[in-house]
Amino acid sequence: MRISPKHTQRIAIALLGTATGVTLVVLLFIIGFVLEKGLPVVSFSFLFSMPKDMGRAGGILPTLVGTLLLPLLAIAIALPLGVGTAVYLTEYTRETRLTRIIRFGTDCLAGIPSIIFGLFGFIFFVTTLKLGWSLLSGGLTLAIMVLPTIIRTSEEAIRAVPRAWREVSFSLGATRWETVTKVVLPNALPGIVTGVMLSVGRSIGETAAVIFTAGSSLRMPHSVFDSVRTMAVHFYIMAREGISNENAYGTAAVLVISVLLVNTTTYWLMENMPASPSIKVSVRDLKVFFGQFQALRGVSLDVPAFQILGVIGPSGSAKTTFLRALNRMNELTPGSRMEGQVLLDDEDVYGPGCDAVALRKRVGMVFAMPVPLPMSIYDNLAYGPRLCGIRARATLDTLIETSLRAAFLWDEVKDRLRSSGLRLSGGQQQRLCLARTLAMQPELILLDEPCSGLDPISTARIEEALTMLKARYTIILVTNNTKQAARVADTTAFFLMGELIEHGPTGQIFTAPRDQRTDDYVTGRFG
Amino acid sequence: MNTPASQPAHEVPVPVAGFNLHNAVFFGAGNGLNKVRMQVADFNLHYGSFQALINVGMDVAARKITALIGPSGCGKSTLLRALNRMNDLIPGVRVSGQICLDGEDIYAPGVDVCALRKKTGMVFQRPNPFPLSVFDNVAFGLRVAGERSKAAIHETVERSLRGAWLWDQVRDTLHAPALDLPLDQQQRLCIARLLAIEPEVILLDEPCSALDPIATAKVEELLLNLKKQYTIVIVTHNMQQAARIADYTGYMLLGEMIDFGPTAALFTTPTDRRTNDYLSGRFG
Repeated sequence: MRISPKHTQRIAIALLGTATGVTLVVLLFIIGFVLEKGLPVVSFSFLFSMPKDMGRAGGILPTLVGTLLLPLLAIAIALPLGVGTAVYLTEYTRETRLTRIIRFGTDCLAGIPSIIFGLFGFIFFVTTLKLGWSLLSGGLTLAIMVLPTIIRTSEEAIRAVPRAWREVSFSLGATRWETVTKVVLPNALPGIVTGVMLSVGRSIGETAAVIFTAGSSLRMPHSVFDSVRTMAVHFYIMAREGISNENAYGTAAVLVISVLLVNTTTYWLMENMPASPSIKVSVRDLKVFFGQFQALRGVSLDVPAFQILGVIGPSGSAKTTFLRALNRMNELTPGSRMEGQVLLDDEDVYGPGCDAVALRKRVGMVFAMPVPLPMSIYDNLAYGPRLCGIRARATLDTLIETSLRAAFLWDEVKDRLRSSGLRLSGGQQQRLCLARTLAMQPELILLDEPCSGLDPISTARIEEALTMLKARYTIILVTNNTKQAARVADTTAFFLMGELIEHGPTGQIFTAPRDQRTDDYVTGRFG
Repeated sequence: MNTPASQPAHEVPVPVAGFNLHNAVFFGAGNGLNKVRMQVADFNLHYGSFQALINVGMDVAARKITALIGPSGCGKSTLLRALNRMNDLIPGVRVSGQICLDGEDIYAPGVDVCALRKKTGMVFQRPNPFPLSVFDNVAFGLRVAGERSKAAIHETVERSLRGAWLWDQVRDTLHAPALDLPLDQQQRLCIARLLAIEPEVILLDEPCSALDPIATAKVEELLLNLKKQYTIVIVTHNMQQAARIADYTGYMLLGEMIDFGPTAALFTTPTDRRTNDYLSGRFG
């Protein structure tokens, strides 16, 4: 028997919900357990006095110092190395076999269990270099361990700094180094700090790599050549050797709280990162079928926020299908089916938690033929906001005026807002539709050949409006007019027979396309 | 490939002569008023195997506005970026031929590219202030150049903002984020940022394409004012803009300089039929 999709959907939600619940309960139980057992032991004197009798009594001051110093030392060593590597990889080299090997190496390094780092540190730093069990050996070992994290997060952060700022800096006569220090690094800083905090979090809780290299002395360290014991190691020894379970739990509680503090700070930093050009829409291997016919054959591309993506290609190349997949309009066609992912701000628009109606309010659409509703200009614009529950007259008025101004229509219609939208000219009707979309305050605007029915002057008006609008919106423009894409789009995607042939900066697509078919199309040899 | 790149270089026909340094007729050579500031001669540029500029030649007159027009992809931005060697930043670019600034070849070995870029500043298509305050944006170039004196920086920032007609709008909000300014003010801020490093030649790459007509008019007026002190080269896809402000105009097509001359002459009696077709809107 086949279970109906509706039921499988319910069962799936129930199972997924249970899984989440179990994870949460386990997590809360562990934290609660440790805190309940440990917190009664924790006091001012526990934190700030020396241990007595191997830790059976007294405090944990030296381990607190060890836990503080060891990650600090590790970061002090790993940060310049890691950021330096990231800067070199992103700014000073081109993508070659060597950079790929370096990247592969760092990725492998990230996957190695910490005990291996411990053994390596023991053999190399402690024995071969004769550094002994010391803060220095431990710091060096931890530095190697967290290096991949710092390199990769710094690299990501540096790559996210817009290229335009680098160009400006160069054009003002700055050298590459000045550009890196004055423009790139300051703007990548929040990302780099995130990497550092993640590394600190990992080092604080590390046991295996530390016990082999920094030793387990319970004395206060006086130099980097003294052995130290971190809280994690202290806890491990106390519990394993059965010295004092109470003090072990106390240490564990302090450790858990420290890690929580570090992680909370990390999240806070990530949330408060300044908005840098991010990816607004991310399409992953999108396939759309209509019955037996596959219209879209696995399309993947990213649209950066506040840019215009031009989608070009001959008729029947599934440009419109692609566009309509982004706001789930294809679902309205019976027999359509899709595979793959469409992420809007990292949220799957086809995910179970996403409501198609709410989605279409965030993603506005303008169609090829202007379709004003048979009502006044004012009511056309107020239609969407009223559906969202905006009733206040003053709010509506300002919203409508700003929308009309943004669509460059205000001056032409301000004296006749009450006349029918159908009485406007074709070009004005299309700008009215654009304004109507803007009145919904969407984040993403989809335009399906908005100028196909318009004369050149109205087209120019729409294009002008679009270039102004991208300061605040992300725009995807499907067009049959390649020149239009060349004029307004920041990046251009060329579709052919349901396939994405090429996607890149508009200038490159039109001047130096990588694919012969793109070349043929943009130079007008077919299409 | 149907591009001329597949032909050996010596078979590429030399474009219409009469406007490059072999024949500086338009500038009234010798009378000292219309000094030639930059000369481009037989300049070729390849992106990998694609030839983006083919035997281009032109003279840029001092304290005049020279406009480059042509359909998208004709190489006008590439030529502009060749003038301050911004193309160097793109992998796989090769050049041959000559570009001279005040008679010195800027592609000669040993040329200090940073110094060159300080002399030939650039304004880009989209306003792109740094995410810093208005003040710090303008001071950026100075600080890179090593200026530390606060008084000197203050003075230059004010002078540059006045030069870009922005001082009155931002004098009270100098320390507000530059990204909060309206787009046209952002673009003028970019011009001010450039004026601060005291360039001799200003290169503008479609500086008004992101601006509305009113803001465009303001920027154009500003450029007309700036040419009293600076030599200006502007790339524009807007022919009316070229007609309004440029003293000399070059029309490019598929990497070649088809026509170059005083703007009025080019627009009224173009020497090449393709220029005529483009200007009359038959393609483009």
